[in-house]
Amino acid sequence: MNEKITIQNISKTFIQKNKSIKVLNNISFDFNDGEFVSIFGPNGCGKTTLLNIICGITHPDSGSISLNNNQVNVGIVFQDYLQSLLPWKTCIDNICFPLEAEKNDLSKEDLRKIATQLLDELNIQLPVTNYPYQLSGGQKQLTCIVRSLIKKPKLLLLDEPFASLDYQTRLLLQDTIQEIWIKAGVTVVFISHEIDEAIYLSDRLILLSKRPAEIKKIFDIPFIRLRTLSLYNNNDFLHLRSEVLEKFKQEVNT
Amino acid sequence: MKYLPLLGPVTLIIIWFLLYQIGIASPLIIPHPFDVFVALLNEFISDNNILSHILLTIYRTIVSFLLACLIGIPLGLSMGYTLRIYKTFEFIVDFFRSIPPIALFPLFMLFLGIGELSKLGVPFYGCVLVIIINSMYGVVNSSDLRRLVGKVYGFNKRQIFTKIVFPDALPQIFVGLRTAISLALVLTIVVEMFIGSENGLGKKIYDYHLLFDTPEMYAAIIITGIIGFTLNKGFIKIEQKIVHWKGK
Repeated sequence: MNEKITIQNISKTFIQKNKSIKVLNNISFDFNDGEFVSIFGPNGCGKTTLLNIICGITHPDSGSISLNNNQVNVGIVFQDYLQSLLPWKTCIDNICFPLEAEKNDLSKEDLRKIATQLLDELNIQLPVTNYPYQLSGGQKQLTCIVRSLIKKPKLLLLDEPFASLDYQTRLLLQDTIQEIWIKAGVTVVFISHEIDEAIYLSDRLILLSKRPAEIKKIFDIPFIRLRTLSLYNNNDFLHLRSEVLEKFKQEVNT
Repeated sequence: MKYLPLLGPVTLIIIWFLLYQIGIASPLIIPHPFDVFVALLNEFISDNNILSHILLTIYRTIVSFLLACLIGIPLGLSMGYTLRIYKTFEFIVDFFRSIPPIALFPLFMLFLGIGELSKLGVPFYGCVLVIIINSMYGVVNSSDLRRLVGKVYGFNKRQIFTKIVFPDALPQIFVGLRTAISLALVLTIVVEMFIGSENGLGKKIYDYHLLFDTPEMYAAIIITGIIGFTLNKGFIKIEQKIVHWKGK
């Protein structure tokens, strides 16, 4: 069943110290199946709120999201991998941790087998018996990414997953994410502060306005896959980049 | 490097010896280190029954500590997890925390008598507050993001508590336990000294003090120190094994 994921007329207002702050205003979007979508916008415009609404942590004041009804099966990766991993569990046990929420009779070994299988499918090598404090930053975030896919979600949310990593690891993980996405065939929503990164990875890029956030413009990014780092020097890429930035500047300066 | 930890104790004994030599105080206050050493050996050789006193003190320390864990950890955890329980007990805990356990001796004697119960009650009281507070802050300071992760992946409230919040609070709980076990020994000794005890190391120390058997008194104090030191070191070992991720 290929049910499309759509969000319709999402609005959200927060009440803070008796003042109401409208964060999201009437946001609608249709995701194509298996599409990589980036969300880009000014600081504090409500990107994370939108993400929280999509994964069901926050409820919108109005509007709806079509994901398999109530039982939302999404994966999520946060910027802060240190706080997101469980330091008392090894890398592999962190990966299969989401499975522990389900009522089943699977033993620890069974769960680990599922995780190992996923790692094989995605062709990812990790020192699985190490604890998070024995992993590098990139390995920790990679553990989070694999963990987010263990329940085979329809939708994967990435909330600035590279923001805490050094430049070298960032470039490496960008390509890893691209490969994982292709292999897993999952729809991705990617929040980023880095315009290059967002364009490099996405099929479409949503530019949000200042608060209350509306969809300012949706850019199609047609470059063929598999993309490589040489794309950064491509003229079409640079042209698109300046076009997005132009729109972004307009939005920030008004 | 290997012998560095020995340097401190050796220096201390040398200073002690020098103080004795220049006669800064009467031997009744500072006895010769060798006399104390002999007294220490003598405790174990003679029929002073020192071993049973030691065991009793350790028994009281551990039992009161374990009772405090039994009550303190669940109460502290639930206070940290549930705002309503926290609000209910916050004042009581903060108030009683401000009262030194020693000030409550008379009350304990009134309620629990001068038998074994009050000897366990006082250290229990001192420990339970320390354990409650640390368990509580363990939960309060546990990672919000980890709870969020649990929520997103469909864990229910009970699972989030047992699988995420509790292990996350463990390092802080252990801080409380380690402080508490040392405190339990201190309070046990004090209780043995002053609540009509007939046995235990505290009683020993007090008796030697009354009889001006200074070397013997020092010997008993040193034994107490060794027990406290061993408890603390042992606890650190357990802690490093269980909460191995702490501080990393």
